[in-house]
Amino acid sequence: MIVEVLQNVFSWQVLLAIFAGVSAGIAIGAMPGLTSTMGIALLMPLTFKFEPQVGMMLLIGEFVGGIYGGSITAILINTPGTSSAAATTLDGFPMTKRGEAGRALGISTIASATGGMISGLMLVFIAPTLASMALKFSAPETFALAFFGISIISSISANSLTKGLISGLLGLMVSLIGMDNISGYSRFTFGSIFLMNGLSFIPVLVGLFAMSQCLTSVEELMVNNSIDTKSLKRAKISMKDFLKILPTAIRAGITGTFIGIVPGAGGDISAFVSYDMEKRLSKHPELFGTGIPEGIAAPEASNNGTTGGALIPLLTLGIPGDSNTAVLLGALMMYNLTPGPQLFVENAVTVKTLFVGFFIANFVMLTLGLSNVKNFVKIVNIPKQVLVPIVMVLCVIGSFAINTNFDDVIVMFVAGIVGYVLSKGGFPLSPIVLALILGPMAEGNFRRSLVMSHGSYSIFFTRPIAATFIFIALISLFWPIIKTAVKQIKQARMSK
Amino acid sequence: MIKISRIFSSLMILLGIYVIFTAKQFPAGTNGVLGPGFFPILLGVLLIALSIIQIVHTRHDKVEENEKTDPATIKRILISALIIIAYMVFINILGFLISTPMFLFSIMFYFGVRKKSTLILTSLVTTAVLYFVFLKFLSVSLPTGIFF
Repeated sequence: MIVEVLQNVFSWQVLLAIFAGVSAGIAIGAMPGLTSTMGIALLMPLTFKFEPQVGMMLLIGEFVGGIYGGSITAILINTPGTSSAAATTLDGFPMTKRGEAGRALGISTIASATGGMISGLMLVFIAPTLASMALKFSAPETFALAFFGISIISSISANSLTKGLISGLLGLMVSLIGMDNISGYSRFTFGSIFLMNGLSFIPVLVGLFAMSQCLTSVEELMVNNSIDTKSLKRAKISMKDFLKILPTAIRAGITGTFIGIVPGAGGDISAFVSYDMEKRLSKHPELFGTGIPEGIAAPEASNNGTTGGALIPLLTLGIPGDSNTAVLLGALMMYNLTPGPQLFVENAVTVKTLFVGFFIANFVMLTLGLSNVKNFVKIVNIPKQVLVPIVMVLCVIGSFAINTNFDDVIVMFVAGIVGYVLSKGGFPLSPIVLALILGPMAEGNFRRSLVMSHGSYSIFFTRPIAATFIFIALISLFWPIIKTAVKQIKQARMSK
Repeated sequence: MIKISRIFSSLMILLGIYVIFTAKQFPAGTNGVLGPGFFPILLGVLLIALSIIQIVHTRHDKVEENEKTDPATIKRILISALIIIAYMVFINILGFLISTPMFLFSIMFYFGVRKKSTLILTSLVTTAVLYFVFLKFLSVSLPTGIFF
């Protein structure tokens, strides 16, 4: 097995895929306005003919690089390239203003790679254990898990709970289209054969995350984010800085991994949590925000820590924690690698290849970050008026290529318009994708459970694991309401 | 200003009603087993309820920052969308190789790019690279149109 895995990983295709994925990820992540989710969605149509491990490594490389890439613009121009790098601006930009941009980039690169490697280690140790536990799951447990996954929608729609839930319900409704996989009855297909198998997932993703983002970019075409490349020196790291940030990076990496495991919390949250934690542990908390190494290392190690963490529930349970992993889940399904405990039995070699590949991706990220930041900055300087049209072409061609079916292009475009209007109205988009994926899993297993129990609903409460997950899901669903209620009670007491 | 979220929530109520009425005609489940209509109806009811809450809710809060859009921007978005639709139509008639550079050239021009070298080189090089990657490297067929 080990020989097979190593042969897989060190084949030129996989290594090239990792290299290409990480490079693309850094570039896309660094560009404000382009998210790593969009990058994964756009690359997916390019990879569907590859061997599963080659394609998946390209996409995972994109994920890893994308989370890191956001820090480059956060440090250089105070604009996070991705939302997970928002906390990096706090100390990254002040350091740049002092003329130490190279030092800031070096620290963020080292910290990101450290965080990523730690999360990789935890992925390797936790995932197989969790998978073997999940092997015993049957329909009620799987329903409970899917329900739990859907309940996360309320925690990711922090700004407006109702809007998030409406997005989620829209996703669930869209997931109903097609043949009901229990009774075989066609639902909402309008007599179209194209809709019998449901809407194809990838065009919907490309529309929601890439096309809608293009339209949003059209609004701000004139915003110029260009960076002066002449004055920029290489990223560098001194031994002193390295030793200084190492404890921070390790702590933040571990924190990030655990936050990544919890579905619903991604790199943006973990970065702020770790930043805050380091500030509290520090002997000189007042220096945070003035451009100190720990202030860059903490968020960067933490957000890259979430990458490996988020892969744990994705691979073992098939539950995506955020939009990045939701898109990766779509990719796994594209390769017929159904995520879940069975994956670790049936595709053990592929899974182990992904594990080893994950470390290599982090290593590639480290090397590219230390040696090549200047070239990535040049890509960021491509004007939006040129970049957005190219991305639009990729959206159209990519969704056509998946099934060489033009109807998919129309699906993509409609999803793009809907996604754009929704995000204008303040409706979050990631609940749609979570619901789209988990909806069929929840519905199918719910009904299958009732078949098992001959129609008795007690099956969901008498099985301990299922009951636990349903309980956690209910709490997570109503958490925002509980939280406000608790707050009001506290305030009422205070005013007395 | 009319709020997007209110219009959208109203549309969602209509969608909910449509889904419920359609799902009512689905075959019923037998001996306690849920039929294909159960979930759609449940979701429809929830969607209508939440949309009503949302509409009532919007009345109270102020227009959110990202909802403010000036007419010029709306026009730009609409025209960009129309150019994309035109591209999607032309790609079926003229094929990928001719319609893609046309699309890139016109939309970049619309976005304000005036440098001739940028306009021409980006259009041609992007088309050539994508053609090579999809057709030769990935052996995926691209739309050829009706003439070729």
